Amino acid sequence: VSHPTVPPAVRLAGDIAAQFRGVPAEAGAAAVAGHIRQFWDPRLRRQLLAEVAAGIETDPLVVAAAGLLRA
Amino acid sequence: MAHVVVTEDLVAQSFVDERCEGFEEWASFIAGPENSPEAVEPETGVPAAEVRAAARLYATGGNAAIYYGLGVTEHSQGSTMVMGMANLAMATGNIGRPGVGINPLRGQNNVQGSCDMGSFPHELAGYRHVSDENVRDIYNELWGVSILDEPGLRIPNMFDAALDGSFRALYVQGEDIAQSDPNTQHVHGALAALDLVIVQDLFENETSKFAHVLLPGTSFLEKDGTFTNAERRINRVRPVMAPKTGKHEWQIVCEVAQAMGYPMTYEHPREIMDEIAVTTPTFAGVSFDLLDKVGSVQWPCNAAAPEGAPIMHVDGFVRGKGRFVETRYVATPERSTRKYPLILTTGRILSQYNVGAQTRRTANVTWHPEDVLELHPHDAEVRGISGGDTVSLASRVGRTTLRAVIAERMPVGVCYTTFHHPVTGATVVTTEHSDWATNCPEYKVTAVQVELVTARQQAASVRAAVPVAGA
Repeated sequence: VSHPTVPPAVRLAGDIAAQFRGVPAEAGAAAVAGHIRQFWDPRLRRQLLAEVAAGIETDPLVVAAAGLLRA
Repeated sequence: MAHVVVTEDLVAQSFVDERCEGFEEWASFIAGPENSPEAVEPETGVPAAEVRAAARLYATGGNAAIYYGLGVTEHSQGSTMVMGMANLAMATGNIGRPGVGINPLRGQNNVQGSCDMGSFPHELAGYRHVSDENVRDIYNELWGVSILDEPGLRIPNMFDAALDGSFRALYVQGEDIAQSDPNTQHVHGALAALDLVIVQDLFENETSKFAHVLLPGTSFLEKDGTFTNAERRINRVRPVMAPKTGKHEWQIVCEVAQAMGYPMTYEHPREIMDEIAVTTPTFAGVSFDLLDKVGSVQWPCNAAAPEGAPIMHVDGFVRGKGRFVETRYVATPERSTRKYPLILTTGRILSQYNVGAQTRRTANVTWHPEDVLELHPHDAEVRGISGGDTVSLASRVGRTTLRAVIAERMPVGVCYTTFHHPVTGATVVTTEHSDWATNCPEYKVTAVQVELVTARQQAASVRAAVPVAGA
């Protein structure tokens, strides 16, 4: 029995990003950031930003969205 | 179906032109060959000709309504599917008049009422976002408090936060999360990590084993208030007997609030409804007096609709124009593998209510004495499994054992069980995957392996786990 090792905030952000891979990158990043801003508890957002800042391997859309959330 | 509607010129163009936005971009997307019934048939297993026939009938057959259950929402793209149905209804004009619409069949009797009253962590009552200062001020002024302007945690997020130590107390009312929520080992670890667990329920259950404080609940026969059903209909619920515990659930909540320093004082539930009416525009006209007079009302119920509104979206949508949304297919991250080659889907049956805390103590157990695993004959045969055998059911997060039923109705590669009995604990194996937008757990898709544990000792009558609509 194994368990996922990706931090929850990064996994959930990746799930959101997967829905927007078909749209232009800039619009996709804005959509991911907008969804996170509207629906996520601040501590989840902080966890995501910390993981991205630490260089965790994740979807480029998540990285771009984190940039928008940080701004 | 939407592909067929667009490419076969079945669009209700006047409805779309007057009521919607974003149609051209969406139509261009959905008309793509990758969205044709023929292209998706290998994935869905539904014959393209039948999809085309259904689309034509839905678009041209007069009134057409969509009703859906948790088989839609308990997937990683459940929200996308609901948006897809909204696209389909708007494109064909099947919304905003009697006999049409998109109608979720709720999993419990008052899910709608809970949602209406702000149980989502990002909303206040009446589906108003917590970031809206004007809405927060209604409560700030009435209650003399300062409501946070940020969303809170959803249930799966709470479990993660409990394990990282940032979430320390939980007050659970009428829900057995230790049995019902996915990845049981993870949930139990989270509950054990909390400093304080309060459980208020009718009976002790799996979650109450983690409780530091147990508060009594009341049955529907003792309750005094309202239930709201899936058609937004607010119904009075009147007690036929006084609470056996001596107090109503809302009175206990008031006492907890008072003990924490907030003067929450109501003399009767009608006062709570009056406060809802004062603070929530879509409920402005609702009162116990009105409900006693007319029987029930469907919100919105206010000056514009004094006795409620049976049909929504008649002349326009809540947001103004109905927006078409592109709904690309994104496969679930859950994958069948050589180690876990089957897909498990879970559901419920008519004779048991959810985790069975109430119904397992009734004679209904005669109809459903245990959770069983339904398997296609081929999947059973290659594993040496016969009906009535005890089998192990394992995913990457957990393992349980239960008895097998061989069922022709199952597709090859798919197995099914229910989660009414804690002894089998089907949610031990379901994973952390959830809907991308709502985090509704993906109960319908788990990669599993099934293996024979013990061949049946004697011919036993094992009933199939028959799902019902809404399961």
